[in-house]
Amino acid sequence: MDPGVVLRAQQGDMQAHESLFRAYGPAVYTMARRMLASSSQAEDVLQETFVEVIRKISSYRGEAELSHWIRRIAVNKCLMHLRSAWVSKRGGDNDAIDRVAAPGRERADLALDLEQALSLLPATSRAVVWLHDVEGYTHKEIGGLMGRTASFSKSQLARAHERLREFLAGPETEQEAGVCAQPLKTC
Amino acid sequence: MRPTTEDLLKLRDGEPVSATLAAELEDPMVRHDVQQLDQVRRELRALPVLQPPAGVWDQVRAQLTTESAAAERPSSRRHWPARLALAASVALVAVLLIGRAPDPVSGPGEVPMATVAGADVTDRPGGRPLLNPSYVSLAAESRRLERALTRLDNRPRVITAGTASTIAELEDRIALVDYQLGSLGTSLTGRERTALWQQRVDLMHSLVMVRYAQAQRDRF
Repeated sequence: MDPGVVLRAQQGDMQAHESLFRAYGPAVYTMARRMLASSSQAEDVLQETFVEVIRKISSYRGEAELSHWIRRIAVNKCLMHLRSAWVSKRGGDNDAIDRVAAPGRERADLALDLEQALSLLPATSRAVVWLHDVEGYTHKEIGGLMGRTASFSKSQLARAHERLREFLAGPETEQEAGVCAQPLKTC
Repeated sequence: MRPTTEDLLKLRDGEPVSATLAAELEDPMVRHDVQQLDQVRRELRALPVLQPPAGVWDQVRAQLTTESAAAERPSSRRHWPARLALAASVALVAVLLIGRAPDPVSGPGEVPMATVAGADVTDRPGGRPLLNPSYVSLAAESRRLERALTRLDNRPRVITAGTASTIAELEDRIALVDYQLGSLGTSLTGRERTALWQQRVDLMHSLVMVRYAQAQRDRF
C-alpha cells in the first residue's frame, strides 16, 4: 500500500479510505466467509471491520504491516460473531464438533471439496483451523482470543482435521469412521 | 501405538516433541499422515480470494457519515423527543448566523415534506444536482427522493445491525428536520427554510443510497 494513501486516510480523506477498502476488503471478506461460512455474516464483518479501521487509522503507527493490523481487527470481529452465534444458537460449542452439517450430505456418493468440507465444520473448529493453518496464529494466541487455553485450540484443530479428512475421503471412510449424519446447519 | 492426530499435527508444525514421538516419523504410514495434514494446510491457503458483494463500501461510508454527524449532535436517540426543541433552536441560531437575506420565492406556512410524501410532483429529468436551489426546488427534489424510497421500500428479509443503525439514524435526523420545518415554519426566513430543505435532501440522498445498497445486496 502506498504510504501516501495511508497518510491521506489518516487525515480523513474519503477517497483514501475507499482505496484501503478496495485493497484489503477482499482479504477480509474471504477470511470472514471461511471462518463464519455465512455470506451475510461475512458482509457484516467486512462492514464493521472497515468502519473500525477508518475510525482508528489515525492511531496506526506502522508497528505492524497494515494488512496484519486490518486482519487483526477482522479476526476480532469474526470471533465476536462466533460468540454471538454460540449464545443464540448453541449455548456452547463443545458438542457441536461431533455433529455434521446437512448441506452436501445429500451428495453422499461424492467426496466433498475442501471449501465445502470446511464450511461443514462446527463454528469453533472451523475458526481454529483457519486461524492456525492459514492466518498463522499460534495455539496460545487462539486460546487467548477465544478465552480458552492453548490445549483447547490444539484439540479443536486435531478434531477439525479428522473431520476434514473424513469429508474429503468420501462416504466409505465416513462409514468406517461412524460419522453421524444428523443434520445441523452451522451458520 | 499409533500417534494421535494432535501428535501428527505437532510433527507437521515442528513443535517440540518427545524422542519417542519424533522416532515415529521413521514409520512410512506416520510420515504419510503428516504429509496429508500438510497438504490440507497448503490447499486451505490456496483457496481462492472471494470478492465482496457490491454496495458494502457505500454502507461503510454511509455509516461513517452518519456516526460522524451524530457525534457532533449532543442528543441521544433515547432522549431525542425531549431535545428536539433545543436542537431546533440550535439549528435556527446556526442558520441565523449564516445570514438573513430574504428569499423571494419562499412563502409562509409550508408543511413538512414527510406529511406530503408521495404527492404528485413531476420528476426532475436526469436527477442532476440543483444549482442555487430555492426551497421549492429542494422540496420537489425531496419528494422525488421520497418516491424513490417508496419504490425501494420492500424491506429486505435480512438486514445487518450496522445498516439498521444507519437507517435509524438517518430517519431520526430527517424527523428532526421535519420537526424544525413544521414547528418553526412561519418564523423561518427564506434562507433558513432553504437551508433546512437542503439538509433534508442531503439526508434523503444518504437514506436512498443506503437502502439501494441494501436492496442490491439482498438480491444476491
